[in-house]
Amino acid sequence: MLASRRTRRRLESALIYIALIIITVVVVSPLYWTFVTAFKDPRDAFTYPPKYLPYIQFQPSLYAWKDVGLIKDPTQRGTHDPTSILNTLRNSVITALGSTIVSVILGSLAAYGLARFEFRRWKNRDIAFFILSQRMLPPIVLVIPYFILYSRLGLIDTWHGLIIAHTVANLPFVVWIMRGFFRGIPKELEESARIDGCSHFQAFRKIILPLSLPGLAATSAFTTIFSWNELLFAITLTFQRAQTFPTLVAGLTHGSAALWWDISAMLLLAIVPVFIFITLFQRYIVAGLTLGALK
Amino acid sequence: MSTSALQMRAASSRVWLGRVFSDRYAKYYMVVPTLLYLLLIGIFPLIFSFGLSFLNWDVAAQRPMSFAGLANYAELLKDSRFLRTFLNTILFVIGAVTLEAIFGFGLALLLNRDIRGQGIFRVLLMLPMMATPVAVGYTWRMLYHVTNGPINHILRVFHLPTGTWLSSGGTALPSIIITDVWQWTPFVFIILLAGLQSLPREPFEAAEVDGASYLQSFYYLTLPMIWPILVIVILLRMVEAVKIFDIIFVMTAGGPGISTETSTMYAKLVSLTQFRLGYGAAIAYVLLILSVIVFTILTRVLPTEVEIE
Repeated sequence: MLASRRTRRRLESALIYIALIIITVVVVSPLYWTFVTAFKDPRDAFTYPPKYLPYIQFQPSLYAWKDVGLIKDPTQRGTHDPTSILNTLRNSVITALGSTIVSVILGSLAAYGLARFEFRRWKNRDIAFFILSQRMLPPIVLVIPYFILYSRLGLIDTWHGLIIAHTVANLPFVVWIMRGFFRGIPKELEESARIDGCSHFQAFRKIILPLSLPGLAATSAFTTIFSWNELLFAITLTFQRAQTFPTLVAGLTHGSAALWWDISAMLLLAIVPVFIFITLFQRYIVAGLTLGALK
Repeated sequence: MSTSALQMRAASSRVWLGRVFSDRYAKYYMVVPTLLYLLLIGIFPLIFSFGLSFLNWDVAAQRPMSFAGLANYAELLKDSRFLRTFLNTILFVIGAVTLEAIFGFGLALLLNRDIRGQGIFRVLLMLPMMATPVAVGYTWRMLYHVTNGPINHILRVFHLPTGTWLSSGGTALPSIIITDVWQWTPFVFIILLAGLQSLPREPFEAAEVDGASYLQSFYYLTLPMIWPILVIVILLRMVEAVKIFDIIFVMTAGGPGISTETSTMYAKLVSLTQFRLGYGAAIAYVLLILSVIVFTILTRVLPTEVEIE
């Protein structure tokens, strides 16, 4: 009786493992496809039947990376100009970091204010919901007026213009997550600092900030990824000098035949930094996601 | 001016500064910058755009701007292209979010047990959610490719009927929904898994002692306890799904025809390509109303169950 229960349990956990592995393979395989396509040369990239396995079905090649001009090879002339790739990558990094810095500084202060003080006339919950509601807006409602106002103000196709726009989406997110995080820190810590003569701002800087570094890391990771991935604002508000990387890639196949190996190489450039980010911050990101949704 | 007078002025300004930056007002200095930012960069453009939606402002036609009253909104109701994009948006939201909820909940239940390597599974299953949507769109365009794509190849290997996926009007939207489900099921899954793991253990142990089956304890314990979180996740996903633009822009650009065009894409086309700014704003506002409805339901659900910590 006991033995049969144990074998049943083992069978059950084996089945669950098999199911999980199949699911994981299905989930990861699209990304795998892009990954291998980036290391094929044109002969292997778009053939029928498709080639899945490197070294067995096809010989990996750096053709695409040379073609987009990121690896220099005198024997192969690239079809793309690497400067536009490098420029847009730089623009994406600047916008992502800029928006993250602004929204984390403003947002975490607001979150602390909302978590620790009582706003009698306005009510904390109403303020928090007002801030959160900004995140719910369909961005197209903002894109049209931004386009008009930015044209008048000379903000079209500038880094700061896009940073301002992305911060509107990032700020509510930072406030929402950091508010939950600050609430989790015991109040007594600042109270003892206050008795020792710290002002509220000093208590925030000296006591609370060091304690909330994990939360800040997770939120910064999120806002950076949001801005890095964002397309709608970027495609309407920038086109050349401040054009972001996704905008460049999104415009690649309109009109011309798709060079899938080149596109795949560029997709990797977009995805890989994000994946490095989540592996580094994995624990915090899960915490951040769930905090944001559950509190 | 003597030095003592200067010192006095410095001292008095310090007092003044001290009063303005007094600790009593600290909370306002913390919250007000964010509120001002959102009022200026969020609410003001929103009002601007609301006003815009009542104007005839056709930049390309070079006519002077004029007041249109409700004409833009009246035109919307007769514009079959707008109605189609609105229907597409709603079908997309319902289709994608329903499947994401089902798969995400299923996965969360599957992983909610003591499994070695849970962390690895979790990271791998999280990847799609963080991938750049432009990259996701292109990746699935390759996978869906009618002649050379892996999906049709695999179907052919198993002697199953192949599809034309993105290139025919009937299957394009469902194909895009599948892509979105692939990308966003992880979000539902991760939050529900965290929710399941935070449930108290005692009721389940008691039920096991009383001889309840897995299905019974799922139906009578898990489901009622996880319900509020499930509702929130679904509403959050709906709010996000209404915004859909990027993957469709890359995968089909709204085609074939307008069979996958969403209202966001149509509003963008009308206002930023045809430069009919007033009409574009009206389209955007109808989309906003849809979001507000979902958001209102969300705020009704949120405070009661979730402010508990």
